[in-house]
Amino acid sequence: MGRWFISFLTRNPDDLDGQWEVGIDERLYKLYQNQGREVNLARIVLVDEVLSDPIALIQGWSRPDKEDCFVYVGRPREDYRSFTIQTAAPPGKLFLVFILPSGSIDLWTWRNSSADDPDMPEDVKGTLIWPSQLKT
Amino acid sequence: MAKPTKDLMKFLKSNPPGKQFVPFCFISKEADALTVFFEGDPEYSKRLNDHVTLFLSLDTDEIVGCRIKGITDILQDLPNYIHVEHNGTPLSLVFWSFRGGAQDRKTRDAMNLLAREAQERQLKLEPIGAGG
Repeated sequence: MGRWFISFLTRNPDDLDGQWEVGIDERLYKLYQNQGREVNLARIVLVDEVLSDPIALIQGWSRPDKEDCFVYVGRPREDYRSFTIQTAAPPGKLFLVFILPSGSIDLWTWRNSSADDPDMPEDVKGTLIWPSQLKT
Repeated sequence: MAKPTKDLMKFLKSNPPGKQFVPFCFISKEADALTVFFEGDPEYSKRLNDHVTLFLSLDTDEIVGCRIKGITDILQDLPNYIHVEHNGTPLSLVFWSFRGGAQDRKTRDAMNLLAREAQERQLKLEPIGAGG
C-alpha cells in the first residue's frame, strides 16, 4: 500500500499548472468504516469529482496556523447518501474538500454557497488562489 | 463534469462500513481539530464561530455532529480547571469550555445541545494522537 489508503491527483497549489498527490489516510477511512458513517465513505466519490474538476481552490482555513491548508470547492450534480442511494445535490450548496499541507484529506462536506457569490462557500475566509481571475 | 471512476466505486464497495452507526469522536493532531458525529444522517456543515463548525442534517437541519478547532490548547488547559480522568476526558467538558464565553443565545443553545448529546452517549476523548 502507498502513502494513502485512497489517493487522488489534483491541481497543485504551489504550481497551478501542475498536479500533486493527495489522499485519505487509512486510519480515517477505517474510523468511518468501523463507526458505520457510510455517508462519509460514499461521498469519497464526490471528493474524487471535486478534486478532478474544482471550481475554486482556496488557501487558508479561516483560523490561525492553518494558512497553509487548502479548500477545494466543487459543485457535483449528485449527492451520495450511501453506496446505494444517490440523490440530486442539495440546492444552494457546494462540496468542499479540506486538505492539509501534507496532502492529507481531512474533511469533506457540503456547505452553503455564499450569498455574495454562488461559486464560493459561506464562511470560508481564505485566499482564492485559483481561478485567479475571479477574485483578488 | 468529471464522473467517478468505476474502480473507485468498486474499491469503496469492497471496503464497506459497519452495518450500524455508532456515535464517535476523534482528534486529528495535524488539523488540530476534534470531529464528533452523534448521528449517521447525511450532513452539511455550517460555521457557528471561529472555533466551532456544526454538522447539520440535510433533511432536518438538526445538529448531528460538530468540529472543534484549536482542540490542543483546550485539552492542555482543561486540567487547570477540572480533574481529568485517566480513562479519557468526557467530551461534554469541551463544549462546556465554550459555553462560558458564548456571547449569543444561538451559540449557547448549540453548546448546551452538543454537551447533552455527548453526555447521553457518554463519549470520551482519547489522548491526542490516538485519532486519525
